Amino acid sequence: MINKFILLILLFIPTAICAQQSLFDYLEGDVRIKRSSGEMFEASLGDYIYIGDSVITGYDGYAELTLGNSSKISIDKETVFRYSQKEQQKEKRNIFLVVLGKIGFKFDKLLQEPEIRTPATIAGIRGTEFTVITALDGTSLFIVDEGAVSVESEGTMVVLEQLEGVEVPIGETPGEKFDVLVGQIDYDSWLDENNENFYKDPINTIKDMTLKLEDFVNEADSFFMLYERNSEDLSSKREELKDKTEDREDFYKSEVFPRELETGNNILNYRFFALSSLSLRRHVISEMYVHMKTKYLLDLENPLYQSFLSEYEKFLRIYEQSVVKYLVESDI
Amino acid sequence: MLKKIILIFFVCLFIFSSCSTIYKNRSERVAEQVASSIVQGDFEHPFNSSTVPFIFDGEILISMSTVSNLWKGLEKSTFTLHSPVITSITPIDETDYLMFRDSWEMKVFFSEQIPQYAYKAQIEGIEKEMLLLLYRNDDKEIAIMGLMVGNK
Repeated sequence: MINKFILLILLFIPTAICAQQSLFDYLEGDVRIKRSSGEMFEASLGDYIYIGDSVITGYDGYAELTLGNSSKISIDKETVFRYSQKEQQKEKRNIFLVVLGKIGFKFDKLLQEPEIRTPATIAGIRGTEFTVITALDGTSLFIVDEGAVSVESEGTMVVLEQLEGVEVPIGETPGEKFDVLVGQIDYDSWLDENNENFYKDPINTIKDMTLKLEDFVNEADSFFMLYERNSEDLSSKREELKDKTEDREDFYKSEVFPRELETGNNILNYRFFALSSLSLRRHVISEMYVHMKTKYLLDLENPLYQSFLSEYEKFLRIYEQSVVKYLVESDI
Repeated sequence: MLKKIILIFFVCLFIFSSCSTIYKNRSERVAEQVASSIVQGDFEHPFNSSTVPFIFDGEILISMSTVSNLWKGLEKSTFTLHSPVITSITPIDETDYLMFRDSWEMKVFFSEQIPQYAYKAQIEGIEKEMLLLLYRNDDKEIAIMGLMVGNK
């Protein structure tokens, strides 16, 4: 029953967001789209992406998307970007998730400004041009060229104005803001340096990822509990509606429809956190595993590799026990 | 009429079994080429034949960048196969996910996303062994869609 409901929501979403669909208008190298239906293919000029889709660029990939009117998103090489949606304060909010890599945003007169997320942060924006980078160790970097961005992590918020930046390690509050001189930031070096942090300390990095996964699981669980409660309530209201002979339409509008909306929003939200967990697992943990397995391939009994494996298994146990139940086959 | 139906059935069966044999033989040749490239320390050739999604141990890799890092990592590790021999080449079936990881997502992947004409090739060296997942891609070429490496 849940799966059917999810399927309906998934089918409904692409048509519902036509007003803010994104179109590829420049492409270089390896750029792939993974649809929410599970289909994956190489992007072509003129392709659209919809809520629930991911864009994945290879080592030589680069893409530019036009969003709605004249807003632009530029996706650099080795980047994973997911276009998502979540309900906040009774409204559906578009969310751009920078799972790994570097993305530039230039927003201009959007109907609704999206929220930008990385595994470590949540950022609100106000008519702005900025860059977000997420490294393999989960650290995020925000640099604002124009406008303002509020970056929140672990309950602390900093507001960045023009030519300001901030670095946020995963599981920590934002660092000190710093001034940015045009052309001063070497993004590739920053990314290399922070990817190196994982190579230096893989055990603590994967532990941080497990903590983040647990946060996502807690959020997904709480929205699922709400969904179950609201779903029961909705069923009883539907039963009441069946018995009504008079004022059926009024009863539906005032009692049933709001609960249908709320139940749909609960699904959207627990799925959002489940899919955020999937992104972490699929892109970040995979990359870590590939690095560690190949590094220690000729020395598989190495204590550091064995400690990593034990943390890796812990992450996967939580994921398989607590996240998979919220996923559907097309997510894979 | 019955004779015609029987004839058509056998023609179809012949075509199907011929395709299977052709792609099995071509998969075997690709497996031999991969083994030979690895012996020569050339990891670019297997990378160029790789595709996504790509299975590596219990991981489903969907970024070519990660697949590139995998082959580069193998090269850096100086992994090699001494005197490699292809010990088996068999069609991939739905239960093969268990060789990679006993998980829901691996099970879904093997039941939903393994294309037609997909084979697993077991290659054994003296100390190390390798399992390759191969399939016929849209260009009717044999591509690598999975790998497992380890000690014998």
